[in-house]
Amino acid sequence: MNWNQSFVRKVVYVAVMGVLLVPLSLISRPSTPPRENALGDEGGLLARKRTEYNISQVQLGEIDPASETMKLALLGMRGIAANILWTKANHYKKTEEWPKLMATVEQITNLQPNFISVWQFQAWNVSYNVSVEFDNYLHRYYWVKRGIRFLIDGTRFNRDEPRLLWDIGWFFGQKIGRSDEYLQFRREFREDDEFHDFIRQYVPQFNQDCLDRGVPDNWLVSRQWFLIAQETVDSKRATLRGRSLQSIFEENPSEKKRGKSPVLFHSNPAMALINFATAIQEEGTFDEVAMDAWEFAHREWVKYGNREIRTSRDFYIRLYEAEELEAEARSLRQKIADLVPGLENELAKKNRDELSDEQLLAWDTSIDKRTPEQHEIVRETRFDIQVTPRDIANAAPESTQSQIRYLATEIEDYEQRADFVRRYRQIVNYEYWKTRCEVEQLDEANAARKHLYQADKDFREGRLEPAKKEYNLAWNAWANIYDRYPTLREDVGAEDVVDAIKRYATLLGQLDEAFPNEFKLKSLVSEHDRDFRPWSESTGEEENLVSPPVENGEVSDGEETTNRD
Amino acid sequence: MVVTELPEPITEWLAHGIPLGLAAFFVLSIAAILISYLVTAFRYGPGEAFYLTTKVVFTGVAELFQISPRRVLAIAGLSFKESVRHRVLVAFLVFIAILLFAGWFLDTKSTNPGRLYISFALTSTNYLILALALFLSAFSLPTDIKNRTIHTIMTKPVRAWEIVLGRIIGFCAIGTVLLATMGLFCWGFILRGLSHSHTIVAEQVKDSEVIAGGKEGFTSYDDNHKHRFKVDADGIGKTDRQQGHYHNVTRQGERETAVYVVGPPQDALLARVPQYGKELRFLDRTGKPASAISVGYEWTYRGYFEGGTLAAAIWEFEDITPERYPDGLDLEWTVSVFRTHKGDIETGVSGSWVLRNPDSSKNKESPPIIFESQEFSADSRHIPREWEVDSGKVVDLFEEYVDDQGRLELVLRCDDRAQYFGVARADAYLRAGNKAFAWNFAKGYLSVWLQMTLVVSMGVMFSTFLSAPVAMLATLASVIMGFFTSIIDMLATSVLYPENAAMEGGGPIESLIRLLKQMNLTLELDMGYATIVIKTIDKAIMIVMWAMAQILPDFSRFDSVRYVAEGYNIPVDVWGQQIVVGLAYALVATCLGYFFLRTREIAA
Repeated sequence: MNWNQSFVRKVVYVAVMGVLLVPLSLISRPSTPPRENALGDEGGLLARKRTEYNISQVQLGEIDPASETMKLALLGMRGIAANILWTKANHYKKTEEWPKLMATVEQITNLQPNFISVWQFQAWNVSYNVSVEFDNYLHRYYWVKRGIRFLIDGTRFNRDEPRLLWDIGWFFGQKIGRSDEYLQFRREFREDDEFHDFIRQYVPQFNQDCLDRGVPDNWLVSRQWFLIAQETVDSKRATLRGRSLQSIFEENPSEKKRGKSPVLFHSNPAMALINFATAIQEEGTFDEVAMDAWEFAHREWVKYGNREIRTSRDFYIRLYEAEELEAEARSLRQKIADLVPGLENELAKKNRDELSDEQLLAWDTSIDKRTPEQHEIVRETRFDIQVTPRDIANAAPESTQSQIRYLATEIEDYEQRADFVRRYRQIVNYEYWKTRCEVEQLDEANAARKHLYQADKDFREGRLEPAKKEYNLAWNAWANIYDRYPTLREDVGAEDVVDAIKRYATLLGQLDEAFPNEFKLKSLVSEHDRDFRPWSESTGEEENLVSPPVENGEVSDGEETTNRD
Repeated sequence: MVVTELPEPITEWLAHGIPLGLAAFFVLSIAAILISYLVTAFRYGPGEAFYLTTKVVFTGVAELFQISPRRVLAIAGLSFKESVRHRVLVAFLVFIAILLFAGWFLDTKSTNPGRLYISFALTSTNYLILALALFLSAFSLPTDIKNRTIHTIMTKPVRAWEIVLGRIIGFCAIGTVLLATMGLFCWGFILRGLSHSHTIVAEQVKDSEVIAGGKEGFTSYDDNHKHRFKVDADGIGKTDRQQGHYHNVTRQGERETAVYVVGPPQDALLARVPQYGKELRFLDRTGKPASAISVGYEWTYRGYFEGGTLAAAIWEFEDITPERYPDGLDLEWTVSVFRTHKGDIETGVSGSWVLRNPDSSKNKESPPIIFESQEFSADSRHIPREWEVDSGKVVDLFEEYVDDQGRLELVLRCDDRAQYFGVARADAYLRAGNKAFAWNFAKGYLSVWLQMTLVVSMGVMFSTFLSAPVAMLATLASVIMGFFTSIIDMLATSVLYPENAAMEGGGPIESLIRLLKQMNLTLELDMGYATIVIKTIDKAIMIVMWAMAQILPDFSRFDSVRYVAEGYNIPVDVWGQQIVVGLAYALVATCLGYFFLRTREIAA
C-alpha cells in the first residue's frame, strides 16, 4: 500500500463519517422554546420523543452539575461504573463500613439520578438494614433518618414521582412509628428540630398539618407525604406505576395492572391518621385530644370510602357502596320475578332434581352439621343448583325474553361491582376501621382505654390493688363495646386487650386471688388464644360461642398486605 | 480499623526476606543471561554470542563503577526540563480542579468526614501521579530514539547506565516536586474541609444533672452536626464526639453575662500508635478454651461469645513495661453487639474488662472495669498505674498484673445474659501515645512516592526496548496486575488446584464459555473432551499469570491510605517494608533497563 492509497482511504473514512453525521444530527436536534419574534422548534426525533414521554432531564427534576459531570466524564461507561459501585456498596455493607457505604450509594445515584429503584432499594437498605446493625437506638434513629433524607433527595431529582413520595410516607410512618423502638424513635423525632427544618422545605403544610399539640408527629408527617404522592396521581401528572413511563403506560393497557394497588395507595393518608390516633392513645393521651384525632381519622376514612377507585378490571368502584349495589341488584331480581312469576322456583326445582341423593343430602344438611365431604360437595355443585338471571331469561317466554336479558346484564354488572367492593374492603379492612373510628370517638371507648392504660401503669409501678380496680373497670367497658360492635373482636386491637387480660391474670396471681369464673371477656380470650384459660372450670359457656367467621385470611391491618413492588 | 493481618515485624521480615530476595535476584540474573545468550546465539552463532554476552555482562558491571554523577545529573536535569516543556504541569491543574470540585462529590453528611477527606485526597493524588509517571517515563526514550537524538547522546562519552539512571532520577525529581506541592494543597484541603465552629446560645444552657454546679446543653447545628456539651462549675468542659471530633468549651463571664466559647475541632486528625495483643483467644460458657461462636454473619472477621456466662475473650499483650507506659495504660476498644432478645432498648449491653496476670500460679485478677457497649466507635479507658483494689489496698499495675516477662492478659466479658459480644484481634489495643498527624500524612505520601518511583523505573525500563505506546501499555499492564497480584494468585491456584478452589468458575476460557452460556458457577462444565482441552489451556494460561503475579511488585502493599484516614500511625513495619520493596524493584528495573539498552545498541 502506498501513501496515496492510504490517503484515499482516510478521505473515504472522513466522508463516511460526515455522511453519517447528517441523520444523526437530524435525529438528535435539540428542541428550542418559542421566543418573542421566533417560533420554537420541537427538535429532532429524540427530542420529540422525550417531550412526548415527559422524560427529558428538565422535566424529571433538578439537574445536578456533579451528576452531569460524572456522566460525561465516564463517556457512556456509567452502567459499568454503577455496577462496580453497587458491588462495592455490598462489600462495605458486609464489612460494616457505613460511611463508605453511604458515600458509594450517593455516587451511584449521582450516576443514575433517575433510576427510581436505586433510590428505593438503597433507602430501604439504609433505614431498615443498616440501622439495625447498631445497638444504640440513637444511632439507629440516625440511620433511619439517613434513609429518609436519601429518599427525599431522590425526589429532588425525580419530581412528582409517586413511588418515591409514597415510600417517604411509609418510612416516616412505619419505620419510625412501628419499629421495636418506636417509643424512642417517636420521642426523638418530636425533638429533632434540625430534621423538622429539613422536612419543612419539602412539606408546605408542615406548620399547619404535621403538629400534634404544637409538636411534629411522625404519623402526621407521613400522611402529608402520602397526600403529596396522591396529588401527583390525582392531577394526572403521574400514575401509580411512576412518572416517566406514563405515556408508554397509556399506550399499553396490559401494563396497567402493574404498580401499587390503587385501593392500598389511596388508603394510606387516612390510615396514617388512624395510626396517629392509636399511637397517642398508647402513649397516654385520652379524652378530647384523642377523640378529636379519631374523629378526624373517621372523616378521612369515610372520604376514602367515597373515592373512586379503579379495579383490576378497569371499572371504578367506591368502597362505601356495596350495600346500595346489592339492594339495586335485589330490586332488579324482583322485577324479573314479577315478569315471570314462579319461573325461578321451577328452575331451582329442576336443578335439584338433577342432583344425586348424596348431593341432595349434603345440601339439606345445615351448615354447621355438614361433614367436610359434604362441604366439598356443596362447593362443587354450587353452580349447578344456582339459578342465575340469565338462566331465567333463557327459559322465559319469548315476549319477555329480551327485557329479562337486559335486566340480567344489569344485575350481573351490579353484582360484579358489589363483589369487587366487598373484596377490596377486605384488603384494607374497610369496615373494621370504619367501626373502630366510630367507636373510639365514644366516651365509653375512651374510658375503656383510659382505665386499661392506668391499670397497666399501676401494675408496672407496683400498685397492685389500684391496678386491679382499674382493670375491672376496663373489662366492664370493653365487654360493653364488644357486645355492641362485634366487628372489633377480630382485630389486633382485641389482641392487645387479650394481652392485657394476661397481665391481669398475673396480677391476680401476685395478689393470690383466683381468676373470676364470671369473667366477661372469656369468649374474646378464647377467640384469640385457645391455650390461655386462667379461669378454673369450664362453664360450658364457650362451647356455645360461635366465633365470628374469619374469611379470606385474617387481614387485620390493611397496610400489612401492601404490595411493595 | 479493620486489620485482618498485622504486619510482620520489620526485623523478622528482613531476616528471611533479604536472603530470599538475593537468591531470587541471583537465579533471575542467571536465567536472564542464559536467555539473552540463546537469543544472541540464534542471531550471531554460539561463539559470537558467548563473546557478546560476556562482554555486555562484564562491561555492565565494570561501567557501574564508572558512573559519573555529573553526567547522570545532567541527563536528569535534561529530563526535568523536558518534562516541564511537555506540560506536565497540566496534571497539576487537573489536580487543582479535582480538589476544587471535590465538595460536589464528597458526602458532607458523613459520620466521619475526616476519614473521607483524607482518603479522597491521598487516593486522588496517588492515581494522578501514577498516571503522570506512566506517561513521562514511557514516552521519553522512544522519542529520543525515534528523533535520533539518542545517537547524539551515544556519541558523547555517556554510558547506558547514566542514561537510564539519569532518566529515572529526572522523572522522579519532577514527580517529587509535583507530589510535594499536591501534598501541601491536600493538607490545606483537609484542614479547610474539617475546620468549622459552633456557637452556644447561653439561654438554652441548662443546669447539669450529673455535675454539681455544672451546666449542659447543645451547640448550634453546623456542618451537618451538633454536639452535646457539659461544663463544670468553673466553666470548663468539652462536647461529645460527633463526626470523629470534639470541641473544648469554656464559659466566659458569670451568670447573666455568661458567654460560651466553643474551640476548634479536636482529635479530628490523629495518628494513634496502637500496641496490639499478640493473640486473642476465647473461652466458652463453661470457661474452657474454645473457638469463638458464629452468629451467622457472612463476614467472619469478628468472633462472638456469650454474655452472663464464663465465656470471655482474652488478649495477651507482651512487652508491657513501666518505661513504655509510665502513667498507666490507655485501653481502647470497639465491640460488636449481637442481641438475642431486645432487652432494654435504651441502654447498651454492659461488659467488663479485667486485667489478669498470665502467670497462673499468682492467680491475680483486677477488679472489673465496667462499661456500656457502643458500636462502631472506639471506646477508651485510662487505667492508672496505682490502683485501689478492694479494702482500700493500693497496688501497682505492673507489679500485680504483669508477669516477669512483661506479659499482661486483658479479659473481656459480656455481663448481660443471652447477649453476645463480637471482637477481633485488632479491636482492642493499648494506646502507646500519639504521633504527629503531619508526619503520618507525610508517610502516607511516602507510599505514593514509592509507587511513583516504581512506575517511573518500570516505564523507563520498558521504553529501552519497546516503542512508546507499547512501553506505556506494558507498564500500565504491570501496574494493574500489580494491584491485583493477590487476586491473580488466588485465581491461579484455584484453577491449578481445583480440589480446594477459593474461586469458582475456572480460568479465562472456561469463564468466557460460562458467561456466554449463562451457566451457573456451581454447574460442572460438561462438554466432553472439549472440557479437558479447555481446562488444560486455562491451566497453561494461569501458570503464566501466576508467574507474572510472583514477579511483579504487589502494589496493594503500598496502600497506607487507610492508616492515615482512620487515624492510626503507619507502623515502621509497614513503611519499612514498602521502602525496601519499592527500592529493590526500582533497582532491578534499572539494571534490566541498562541491559536492554545495551542490547539495543548492539542491534542497532
